[in-house]
Amino acid sequence: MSLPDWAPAGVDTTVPNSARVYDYALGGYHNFAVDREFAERAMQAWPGIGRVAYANRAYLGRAVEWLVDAGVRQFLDIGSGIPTLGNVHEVAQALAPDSKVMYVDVDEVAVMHSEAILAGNPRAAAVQGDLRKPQEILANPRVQELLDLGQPVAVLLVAVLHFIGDEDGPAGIVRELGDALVGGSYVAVSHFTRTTGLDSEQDQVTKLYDQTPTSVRARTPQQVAEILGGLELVPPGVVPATAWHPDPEVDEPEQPAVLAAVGRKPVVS
Amino acid sequence: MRQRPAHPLDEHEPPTRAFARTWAQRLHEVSFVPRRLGRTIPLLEDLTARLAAALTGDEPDPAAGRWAGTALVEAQLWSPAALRVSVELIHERLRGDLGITHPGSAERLGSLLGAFTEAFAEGVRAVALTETDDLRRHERASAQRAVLRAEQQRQHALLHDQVSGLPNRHALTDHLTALAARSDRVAVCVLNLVRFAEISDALGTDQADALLREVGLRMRDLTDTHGHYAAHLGGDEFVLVQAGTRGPDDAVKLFDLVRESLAYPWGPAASPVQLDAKGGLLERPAAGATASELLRTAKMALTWAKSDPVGSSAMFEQHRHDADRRRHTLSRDLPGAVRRGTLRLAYQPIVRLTDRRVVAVEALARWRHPQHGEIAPAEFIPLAERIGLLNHLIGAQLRTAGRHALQWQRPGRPVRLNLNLSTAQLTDQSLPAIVGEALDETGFPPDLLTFEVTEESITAPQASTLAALAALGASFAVDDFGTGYSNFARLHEVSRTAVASLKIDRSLLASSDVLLTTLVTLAHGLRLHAVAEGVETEEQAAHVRKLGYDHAQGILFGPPTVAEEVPALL
Repeated sequence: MSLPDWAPAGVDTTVPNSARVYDYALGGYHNFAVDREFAERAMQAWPGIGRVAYANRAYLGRAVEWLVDAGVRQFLDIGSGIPTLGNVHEVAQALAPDSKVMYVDVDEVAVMHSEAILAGNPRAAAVQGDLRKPQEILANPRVQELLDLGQPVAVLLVAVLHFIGDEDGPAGIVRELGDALVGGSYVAVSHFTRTTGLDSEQDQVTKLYDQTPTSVRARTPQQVAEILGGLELVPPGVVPATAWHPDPEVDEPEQPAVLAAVGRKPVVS
Repeated sequence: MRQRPAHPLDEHEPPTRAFARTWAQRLHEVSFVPRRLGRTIPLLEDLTARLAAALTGDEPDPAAGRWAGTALVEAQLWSPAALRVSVELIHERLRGDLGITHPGSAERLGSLLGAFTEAFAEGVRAVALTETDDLRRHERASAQRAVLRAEQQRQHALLHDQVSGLPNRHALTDHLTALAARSDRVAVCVLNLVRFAEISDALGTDQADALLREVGLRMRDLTDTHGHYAAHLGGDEFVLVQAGTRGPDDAVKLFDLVRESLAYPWGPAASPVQLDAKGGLLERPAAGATASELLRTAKMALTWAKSDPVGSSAMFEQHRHDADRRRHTLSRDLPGAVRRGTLRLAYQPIVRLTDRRVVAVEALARWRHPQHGEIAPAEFIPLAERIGLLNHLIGAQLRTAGRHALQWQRPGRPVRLNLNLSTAQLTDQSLPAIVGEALDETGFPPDLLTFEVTEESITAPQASTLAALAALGASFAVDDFGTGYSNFARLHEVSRTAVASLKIDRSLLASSDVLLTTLVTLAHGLRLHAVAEGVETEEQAAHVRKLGYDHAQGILFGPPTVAEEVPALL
């Protein structure tokens, strides 16, 4: 989840880290006092933000399940952050034990932590990488070793693109990733967006994030669709995360502040 | 697609499942549920059945409560709110919803919930402690890694050039030291980019750095392709090292490779920069060579290459290096020697052939260097010239020699004083003033002073200095006549003013009489004295006298000697 404006890659436990804040919001323990304090301030500013985080994480779980059902057995989770509740390998391997999951994060602590959790799991691994340099991620020997790029891969960019500024070209990043994958591969994204009636709350939280190494920016559904430009949008397209293949068991209010979409690379025949 | 779960309002759903569904939905309302409810409900259904069994079994079974508490935490349904809704639901609805009427079930419920909350709290505590420990450990490890990496970067920075990224002088020194220990022979090629300062001025610093990076890349290509070692000493100096060479030819080939790699131009097609380098080459056995010595000697060769207007490279040669060093030492010591007066004068008589009377003495500068012994004027005069000491030298010599020669004068028997002047001295406009000052100081009569100059000196355009010296009253002798470039027209011109004699070079003594006679005729025709140099035997003395020479000089009449010995010759 965390993206690197803070080179050199090291840990600074005096600065809130978006991945650890997220972990705390979900009820996890991989966070420091500074992260918890930040999360509390965000929740004070925008009381509903906890549910936004739940909705985002639940979307990730549903998207992974949907992808497994669609036959995907390889996942590249970029910006995976600190391992927290409902990790991709747990969801995917529960459904299809042969699923392979490569976690990528720019934060070294997140990577080390992931490695510790994944020890003994031959089909899941974590490497350090920067979403803004997709070629480096794809060329990483450990990525090449675990994933077969000759077979479909689902790239997960969940709650990470809103940390990428326009100057870093999010659409270009997604295109580069897509170009490296075979037809039948997917890119699943979720992204923060502005909603009506919550201007003050969202302004405050955006300002809070401006104080962290990873400032956050909202994008419209149209902009999110453009980022997935070269891919076929899987129905229902770009929708609030809660509306993307919702859990029929759950009757919950819509969370319009986080958009979700899955794009599919067409198979050329 | 997976089967859709039973609809919540399915009337035929068993009560255990219905309870579990309610439980799942309550959990979802208050906390994050990491799985779809459809996958959480079966777990909760199992827990519900176990809890129900504990209430209805023959014996109370608090273990079922523990089981359920632990299972919730394992399913990451571990938030405080999750505990609250679970306890509330089990307490309020478990018995009613499942139709449990077992006597004593109400009493059992308390201890069952007690076991449930205890196990839940224990599980949460264990997770919190473990995960906090893990996080701290990873954070520390990561910090250590960052320190290590910073250290490595620092090490790298210490050993690499900041611009090109190639190994720097320190790294090169290490490499050469290691090579010296394990290779037979080694070639070192020190490179200097041609016209870099000029290019840098034209392009600006950033572009100049880009150019250096480009050169660095080409050097690196050589190391990749040929297994050589490249380093960047900074600025426009690079070094290429090859181990296991067989002879000097390999060093030349190494330099050829470099020039080849630099041959294609760099920069925009519109204004390409043509790269080239001068190379100082060294090839030698590696054993016993220190890194600094290898580098120093190769750089020595580079200075030779740089001063060579034609060639691009120079190979280090020991004898040339020794000559350089000797020149360097002498240049270093000469100013001190002049200042302390350790430069001495030796005097050699010039005699009139008819009666062997001493008509002049030539003062010759002598320098005994503590290390290198007797140094000939031919060697140290050019050095003095280069370091700007010449005038100081001639002033000091004239004062010393003037005082000596004054003592040698007898009434009716004048003894001229001959002093050598180099071409360089004659080009100096301040020479007449320095000479005049020395003459004034010593009181030596200027008309007894003869400056010995080369043919070159009088033919080159130094007329004003010559004329000014002549105006002081001094006259000139053309030294070593017949060995240099002669300009008879000029000779004729100056002879009318100040030139008094031609000293015919010793090498001509063995020439045919025709030539010697011609030279005498020439001298006399210009009303100059003809002086024979290098006369060693009586036969030679008799011979030159017969040919008409006026004066002679040579060891037959006395070798150069100290001032104290001169009066005895007069």
